Parts: sequence; C-alpha cells; structure tokens
Amino acid sequence: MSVEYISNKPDERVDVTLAGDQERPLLEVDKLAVTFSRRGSTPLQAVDEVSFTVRAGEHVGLVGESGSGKSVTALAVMGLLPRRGVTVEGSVAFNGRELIGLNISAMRNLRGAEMAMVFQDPMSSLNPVVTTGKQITEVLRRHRDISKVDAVTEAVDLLRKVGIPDARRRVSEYPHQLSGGMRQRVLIAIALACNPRLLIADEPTTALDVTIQAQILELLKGAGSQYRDGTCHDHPRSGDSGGVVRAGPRDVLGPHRGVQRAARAVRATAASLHRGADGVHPRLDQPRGEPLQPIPGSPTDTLPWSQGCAFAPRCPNAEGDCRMETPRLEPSGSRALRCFHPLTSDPRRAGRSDA
Amino acid sequence: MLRFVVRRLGLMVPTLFGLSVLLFFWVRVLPGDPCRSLLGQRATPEGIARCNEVYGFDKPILEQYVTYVGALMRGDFGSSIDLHEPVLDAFLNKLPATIEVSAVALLFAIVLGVPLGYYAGRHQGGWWDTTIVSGSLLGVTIPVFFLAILLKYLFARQLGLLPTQGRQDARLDVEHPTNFYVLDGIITGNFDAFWDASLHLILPGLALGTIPLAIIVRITRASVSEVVHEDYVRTAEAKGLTSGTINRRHVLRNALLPVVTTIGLQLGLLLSGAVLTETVFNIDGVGQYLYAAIGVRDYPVLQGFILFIALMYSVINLLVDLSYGLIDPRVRAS
Repeated sequence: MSVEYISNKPDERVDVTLAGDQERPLLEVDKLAVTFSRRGSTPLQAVDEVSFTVRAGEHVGLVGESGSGKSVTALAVMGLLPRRGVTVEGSVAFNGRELIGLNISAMRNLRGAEMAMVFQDPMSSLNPVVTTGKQITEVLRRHRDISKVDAVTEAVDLLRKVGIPDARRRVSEYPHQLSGGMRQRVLIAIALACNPRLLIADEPTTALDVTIQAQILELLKGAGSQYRDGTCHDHPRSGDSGGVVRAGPRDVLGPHRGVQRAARAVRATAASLHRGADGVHPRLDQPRGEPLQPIPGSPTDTLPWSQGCAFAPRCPNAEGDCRMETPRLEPSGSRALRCFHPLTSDPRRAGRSDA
Repeated sequence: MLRFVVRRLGLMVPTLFGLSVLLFFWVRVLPGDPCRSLLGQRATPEGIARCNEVYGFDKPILEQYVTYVGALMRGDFGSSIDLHEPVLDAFLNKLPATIEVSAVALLFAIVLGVPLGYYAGRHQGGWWDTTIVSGSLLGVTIPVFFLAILLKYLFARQLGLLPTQGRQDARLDVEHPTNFYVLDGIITGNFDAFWDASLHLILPGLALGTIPLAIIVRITRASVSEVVHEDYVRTAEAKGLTSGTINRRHVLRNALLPVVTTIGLQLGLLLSGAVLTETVFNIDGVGQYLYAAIGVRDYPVLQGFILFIALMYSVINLLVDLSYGLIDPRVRAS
C-alpha cells in the first residue's frame, strides 16, 4: 500500500488551532513500510512507502479497498503491531519525535495520553469482564495524577459528553449490557479521556447501522474541534483531505471532495480512478438499478507483488510498462495520482461513457 | 444468587438418588461376594448361607435396597463387613489425610501451573514456551507411583531432607482433634507437630500434583494464547496501560474461566485418585481403605465411598459454576 497526500488548508470548522503547530505537522509519516513475515512463506508487504502528514486541527482521511492496508498503517503509527514477525520501516514522527524504534515504555506513555485510537469493532474491543467505568478510569489514572473518586466523576462526564444517557448508571455496567452504538461511544470516550493530540479512528462505524453511523461521525467531528488537534480517520466521509490507499504505489490524492469521489471510484473502476475519479460512483441522474462497476478482483489477487503498478493485473488500461516499474506520483489538477495511462480527465464524459 | 444455589443443591438430590440405585446394583453384579471373601477358601456352604443371613444378603435385592436407602436417610451408611466399624466413622478418620495431600497437590499445581502456563501462552513459540510445554508433557506421561518412588529416593534417601513415610513422626506426642494433622498442630499450638506434618505432606503433594500441574499448564497456556489476540487486549495496549495491568486485568481475568473449570475437575480426581500416592508414602487415607474394601467386596464401604465422591463432584461443580459468575458478568446475568 502506498499513500501520499496533499493537504488543503485547515478547515474553518476547526476553531482552535495552535499557531506554533502550523509550522511543524503533528504527525509526519514518511515512507512507512510494514512487512509481515512468517517462517515458511514469502514475506508479505502490507504497507509500502506510505507518506502523509497530519497538521494540528486537521482531519485526514485514508480510504481504500479492504485489505489495502489502512488499519495496518494506523496500527503502525500507534506502535500496536505485534513485534514478532512484523518489520516496520520508514519514519513516523509525532510532534517531531520519532516513534519507530522508540522503546516500549516511552511508547506506552504516549499512547492513550497524546495519541489515541478508536477501533473498528465495538463489540469485541471492550473487555467483557470489566465495567465500562473501570475501562475509562484506568486510562485516566494511568496518565494523570488523579484520585479514584475524581476519575469516576470524570468518566461519568466523558460518557455524558459522548452522548450516553444515564451515564452514572452506565459506569457500573458491563459492555454486554450496552448496545453497539453505546459501546462505540464508550470507546470514543476512552480515546478522548486524556485529551489526545492525535485521534486515529479506524473505521469507527463499520459495525454500526446507518443512523448510528451518522451520529458517531458527528461526534468524532465535534471531538476534532473540541479537542483542538489532529484526527486521522479511516472513513471516506470524514476527511478534510486524504489519500486513496492501494495495495501498491498508486494513489489519487487531493482535498476533501476529490478524495471522497476518488474513494468511491476505488470501489468503481481503476480506469475511472485515473480519469479523476469521478466516473462511476453512484449518481442521482443515473437510472435506478444501474449497476456499479467495481474494480475486478481484490487487492489480495495482486499479491505477492514486487514491482510495477499494484493495479496492473486488475486494470483494463494497463500496458507493459505498468508491469515493469512503479509510476511516480504526479499532480493532476487539484489532485495527484500515480498512473502511466490515465484516461481523459473530463470526469463527466468519462463517467458517462464508462457507465 | 441464593436461588441459584438452592436450585442447584436441589438438583443434586435426584442425581445422588439415581446414583445410589446404579451403584447398589453395580457392586452386587461384581464377581465374588463378601461372605466368600470373609470366610476364606474353606468356607462351607452352610457357613456362607449363615453369613448371608446375618448381613441380609439372602433377602430379595429390592428389599435390600429399600433397607439401605432407609438407613441412608437416617444418616446411617452401614458398617464395614470386613472391619465391623461404621463406614461414616472410618471416613471421618481417614478422609482428612486424603484431603490434606490433595489440597497440597492442587495448591502446588495451581501456584506453579497458572504462572507457567501464562508465561508460555504470552510467549508462544519461544524457547521457554517449548520447554514448558515439553515439561508438561513429561508431567502427564510419567506414572505417579514411579515419580513418587523417585522423589522418595532423591529427597529422602540421598539428600535426607524430607520424611518418606506416614503423616507424622511417631516420636511426637500429639493430639488430633480434627485429624487434619497440619490443622491440629495449629489448634493445639504445637509448632513442631505442625511443621512435621507439613514436611510429611511435601513429597506426596509433589507426586500427586504433577499431573494436575501439567494439565493446568496446558489449559492456561491455550486459554491465554487465545485471549492475547482479542481486540480488547489491543484496546488496553492503545490506552498505554502498563504491562502489569494489561496482564492481570485484561488477559488473565478473561483467560481464567477454562482454568477454573479444570481445577474443579482435578480436585475431584485427586480426592478419588490418591490411592497410589497413599500406598507409596504409607499414608492412612481413604485410598488405602477403599483398596482393601474392593478386595473383599465390602459393599457398604464401596457404596458409601462412591456416593461421597459423587457428592464432592457435585459440590465442587457448584462452586466452579458460582466462581464463573464472579469472573464473568455475562454468566451472572443468565
């Protein structure tokens, strides 16, 4: 997987940004590569030279097909990948401090306090045998000098803030007594507990139904402005800017709207992605029932992948050179993309002819 | 909670009743009979008939059963045919020895087994893991009596550190109000007696505890290695908690359920299976008593003992189920 991205200006919606932090990005990921190796099988490169930055107050979204490495990137930034059998290369600088190779106890001091993560599956991400209150207070007590009683009061406050009714009762309940949406809120409360400067949300709404999804996204957006610093989402609908992640070094980069479309295009066809990614996402003026055209195959089809464009085996436009070397990331309008043979860049016409 | 306990205790009644029927007929189906063993090879048919009359074995089997259950209801387990003493008295005399050895064995197995299994599970595939797993395999396969003799030879004979026989040094002048010798030492304030009784328990405890130890190691390891890959452990890591908190609160508590089940089952096995150890270490417990009773088809003793073991299993299982509720709130709800 590879992603590079061009950020646009910080959104006006985010009110509090620290002037000093504008100079230096909060998070700088440079050529991050993650390789899984297991004895007896060829090593698998899950993340290949990903670079992106998150500035204070900025929302950044990573989008891509499943299996393209979004979660692995997030886990690598948090240092949560297993140590055995995993090689992490490149650089992850948090607030100017290099995290790769940082010792475990220094990393533990950062996690939960300075950088926090909301996980994908609220049903399994909470400990079933510990009360929700305890799961919030333990992070408060770990990172802040706070008494037990104060921690409980704060946990109740946090639950209220993330919109859990009857918070006082909920702190003494166990995860199985809460609905999926509430559990996700608890996870968000845990992540926000120590006012982290960076919040990573790894598809925080995948496991929830649509109305709850919208609520959770609102909540995270609110958290972004309230808690002043960067958020990094794995959700196509919630980035100021972002990059499309592929199982290979080709991407479309650009500010918010473009990337959203690109994200849909990833689900549509590779060819339309190159065009500017506008073509084949669902459109209101299309007749009902018109089938979408997804990229054939899945990222795992192209593995093990060593050189050339990651999409070469799956792209109708691919030619010889696509299989030989990796295209560079080049600007294209307000975005940038990696492709030797992009289609014409009029999105409207392209979209029509394609559909 | 209370209702749950009462209901479970209530369910034990039909279980034990059914078992009493089964075992009553089962011991009588065994080849041989008590009067023949009692009177020996030269018994005359008249003698045997007379003996059967005395013990009531000549009556219809259903009538015998009704008499037996009637006596049970009054708390009368009958008397040993061979030794002529009440079964209950014999048990109260000999059970403490067995319980002491079993408790030490189980304690040893838990105290060593849970941490070892935990460590192996957390460092799966590593050098220590391999060592611990192969060690536990050895522990399961080595016969108890052989290990017992080996231990005696090594610690008692070669090193001269520990006593090899019995429960207490015969030269000590000690009172035994409860027959739990360790406890008696504490109650009577006799430290020497307490210490001596404790030393006597070490080798039998080790010998008897190896198999439960090996099993607990394996179950703990399997359970832990499953739990460490759970999402909530990753959440705990993402909170930046210390490894101590993660291990105790997030891994161990969740990994404990199967371990507790195993411990319960092992305790039942230990109480009924200490015969070999008791023989090798010459401990006067129920094991030896029962062994003798099987030899002479001592019906009342066999029935009493099997009923007792069934009762122990039921009670231990109930305790295990109750402990589930303490460990896992989801069990409490249902």
